[in-house]
Amino acid sequence: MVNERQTYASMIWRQFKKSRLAVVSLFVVAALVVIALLAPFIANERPILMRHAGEWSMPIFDKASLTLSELDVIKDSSSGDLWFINPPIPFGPTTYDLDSVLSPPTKKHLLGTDGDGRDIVSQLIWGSRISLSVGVVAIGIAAIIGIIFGLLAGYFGGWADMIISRLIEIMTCFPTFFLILTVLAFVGPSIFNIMVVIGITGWTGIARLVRGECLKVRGRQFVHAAVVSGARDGRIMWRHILPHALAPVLVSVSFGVASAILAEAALSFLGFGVPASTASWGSMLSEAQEYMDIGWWLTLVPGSAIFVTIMAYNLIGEALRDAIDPNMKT
Amino acid sequence: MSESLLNIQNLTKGFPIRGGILGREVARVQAVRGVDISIDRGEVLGLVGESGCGKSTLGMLILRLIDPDAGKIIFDGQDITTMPQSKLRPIRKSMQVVFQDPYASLNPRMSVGDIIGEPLLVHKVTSSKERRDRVMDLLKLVGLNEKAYGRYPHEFSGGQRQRVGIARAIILTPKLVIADEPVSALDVSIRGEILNLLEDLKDRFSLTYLFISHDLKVVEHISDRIAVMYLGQIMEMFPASELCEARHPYTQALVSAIPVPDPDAKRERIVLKGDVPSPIDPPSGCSFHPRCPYAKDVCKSQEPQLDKYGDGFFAACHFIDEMKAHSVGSELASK
Amino acid sequence: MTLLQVRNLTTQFFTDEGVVKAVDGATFNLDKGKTLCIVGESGCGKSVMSLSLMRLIPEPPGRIVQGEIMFNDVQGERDLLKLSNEEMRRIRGKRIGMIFQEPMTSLNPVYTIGNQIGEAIALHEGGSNKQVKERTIRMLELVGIPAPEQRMREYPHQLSGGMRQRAMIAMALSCTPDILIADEPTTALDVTIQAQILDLMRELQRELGMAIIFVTHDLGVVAEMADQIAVMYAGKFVEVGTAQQIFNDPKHPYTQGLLKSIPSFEKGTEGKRLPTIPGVVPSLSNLPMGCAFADRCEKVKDRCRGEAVSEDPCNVGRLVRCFYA
Repeated sequence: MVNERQTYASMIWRQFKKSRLAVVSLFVVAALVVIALLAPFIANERPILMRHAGEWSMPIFDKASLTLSELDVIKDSSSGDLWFINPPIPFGPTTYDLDSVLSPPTKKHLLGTDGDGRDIVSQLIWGSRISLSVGVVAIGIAAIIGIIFGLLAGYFGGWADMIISRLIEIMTCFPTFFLILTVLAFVGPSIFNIMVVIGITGWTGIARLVRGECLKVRGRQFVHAAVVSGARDGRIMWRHILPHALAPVLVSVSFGVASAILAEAALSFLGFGVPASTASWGSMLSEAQEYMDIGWWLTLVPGSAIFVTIMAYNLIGEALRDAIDPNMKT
Repeated sequence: MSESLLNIQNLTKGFPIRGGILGREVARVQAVRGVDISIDRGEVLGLVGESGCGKSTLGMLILRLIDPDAGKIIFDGQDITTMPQSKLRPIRKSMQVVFQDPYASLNPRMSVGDIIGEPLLVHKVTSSKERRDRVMDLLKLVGLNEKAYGRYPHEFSGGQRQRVGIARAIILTPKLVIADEPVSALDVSIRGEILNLLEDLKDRFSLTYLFISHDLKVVEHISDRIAVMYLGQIMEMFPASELCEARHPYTQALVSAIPVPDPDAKRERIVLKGDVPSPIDPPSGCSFHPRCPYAKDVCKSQEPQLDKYGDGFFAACHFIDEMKAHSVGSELASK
Repeated sequence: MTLLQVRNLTTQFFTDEGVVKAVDGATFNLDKGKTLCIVGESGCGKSVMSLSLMRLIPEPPGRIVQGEIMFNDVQGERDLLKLSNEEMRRIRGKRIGMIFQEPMTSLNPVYTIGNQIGEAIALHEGGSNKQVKERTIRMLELVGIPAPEQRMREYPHQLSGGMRQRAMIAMALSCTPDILIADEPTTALDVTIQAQILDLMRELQRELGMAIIFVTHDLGVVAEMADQIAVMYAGKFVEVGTAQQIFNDPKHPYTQGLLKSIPSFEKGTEGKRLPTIPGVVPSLSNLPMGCAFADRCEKVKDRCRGEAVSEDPCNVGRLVRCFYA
């Protein structure tokens, strides 16, 4: 029977849309991405745009320029040729507002401040950059390694398969989190190291998936047809096999991002994560420990942020999985 | 007599069955056992047999999708039996395939234009503009709309997909096309169109076909010569137009087992007893003897050779001279 | 005696793409001990037809929207569509048996053949273990499985395709049903094995006196089996008649086209072009108002597209759904 025009991607999208929660999650993730990208414009201690003494400038890009609090002082004394636009949240993640230390949510600090007088909203927004980049880069690394190893193992079989499969088995034997901790103890904690370590410990699932998909597709007739056409191994893997594995990999990536974000938060919480001067959701939680009894907002805010983000990625992953294989749904 | 395009000598292939924890070979499926075939240029050789007789394996062997255990494949004057894949690549241009299942043989993630154009791309024979034009020409030639170019396989019916598969096979104007059950998955009313198309293309591009099928009627229609395969061996070979004269008991049983679309046909039928024996442990002597109504002692012990018994007729049977063309055949011819 | 009277049976599937009219107003009679062949190409609704008779349509998305299936056995006449699920369950397997194209999917791989046949017998007939076992062996003998006592201890995967189909038939016939519905039972088999199974079915029919509804796409098989034939196209019966009528005097252009498009062994036809039916089968979810075959028909006139075709507009005396038969 002749169906109406419909590509595979649009088919998946149509199924995906059926899950309302997943669509909401997609919006949440999209909003997070926008916030993370625009963080300097949303929460900053310097004005977005300023005219002073007849000159235009964008102080947010100039670390040496005056901060808002300093400008406030000048504004009163100067002759009036001073005009600037504030960011919506006029605090950077490391702006110490010593007048309101440990302030609960107020008009000035919408979600309060921490023990050093830093604004929580601002930290949250800047922290999302860390979470997002760790999630994406780490899983990006994992996906690249996983896809390459999976293809090699599944397509060539024999020795390649034997070695890679054993490697996967060995890797999965180690509890990943402790592996990450151990490695970080050697190389020292930094965002870059965290991303790489999560990446090179997290590829096994994807490799296994790609290998399985590869074995399934390799015996199909269109692969034979490509061989008969004279196509090289690389082309067959890339054009004929990988596209079939891509959808399940996407599901795995979605779950992977969630667990990478969680891993980063946990590492930062334990003090193995990003340096204390960089705001991340995990380090916010870590600092909140000191004020557990008096500063409820200190734990609740970053905790909810982590919860919502991870939930969103997981829901997307689940909906994608159902969309790829509608028969799996009960 | 024109020189043969494809010549196969004593081709043999077995698949190991592994068992136990060490994965040792415990048995071997003897899929193809010493097959000799030659196909002349411009000829259509029909290869017919029941499932598991090794006919598809033979096709895969010729295409070098799998490697033979023994024997020789000489294609267009070159021995390709053990040629490495890298050297084989340019030769593949002149040897193409059409598969049975038009659902499995087209990559569902590629557009029809990309599928048909892929052989041109991998052999870098044309620019991308020319490639597009060639694909468009071929779409028309196989009876598809030009709009099909950007569409995906799942948007087409079985017959249309098979046309796409055929277009892909002939875009490099190959010398040999191996058609492995190309119409078996199609409905009766579509089957005729695809067979007609294959014949048109054969005349137009002077192709040579190895036409593999389980359906003797289809094979008889399209072929010049027919080879009947059973348990990995060729049992009989004869000119397609002389089907009624074929004398091998297995061929006759095959013919008589085909249901005839005539409710009044009252005919004597040879119903073979039992199943096709397992190719893991083929019978001794003539592999057909356990089911053969005429089997004698010698058939159990001695393997018959494929010998000539008439002009263009070859059979592997000890008693071929005593067999006569079965009445079923002539009865069918009169119908 | 008329065993089964089907009137205006209509089964539809309600999908995202719209309503699929898989079976549209099928009407036929089945006599005791006779064979009705329902013949058609893939997607014409013939399998849905056979499932509808057994009330095995997955619901949703499918539903038998209207019609009646009057079943007339020793217990009197009743409409299968009006029975409760429990009553229907008792008819399935006991009064009406069914076999499928791929026996492997309808046999449970984790039970032995003997187990499965025995279960069917025990479920409907009861009896002691010994009786059930004896009956199982008798059934396996009946369908020509050699060494039944050993074979009954084997699992489906240990049997060849032909043997599996025999086991399947044994299971379907274990309670000597009045009707056997066979949905493409030989399509997955080789010709030599197909011949065996067809022979077996005819023999069993003679012996047990059951009626057979045989669903297939293969006109050759139809000619061997059928007393009555119903040709199905796009969800509708387009022509119904006796085997002689359909093969020797087909009236509907589709039937004629089907018969012509079979390659024959006739001498001198080799290399000649095969007659074909151009075009493709229309989608069941988007059928035209008039004749569904109009786009592929040689005799098509304006009237065919604009007007629904009744069962016998040309007064042929049997169902021929064509204005110009």
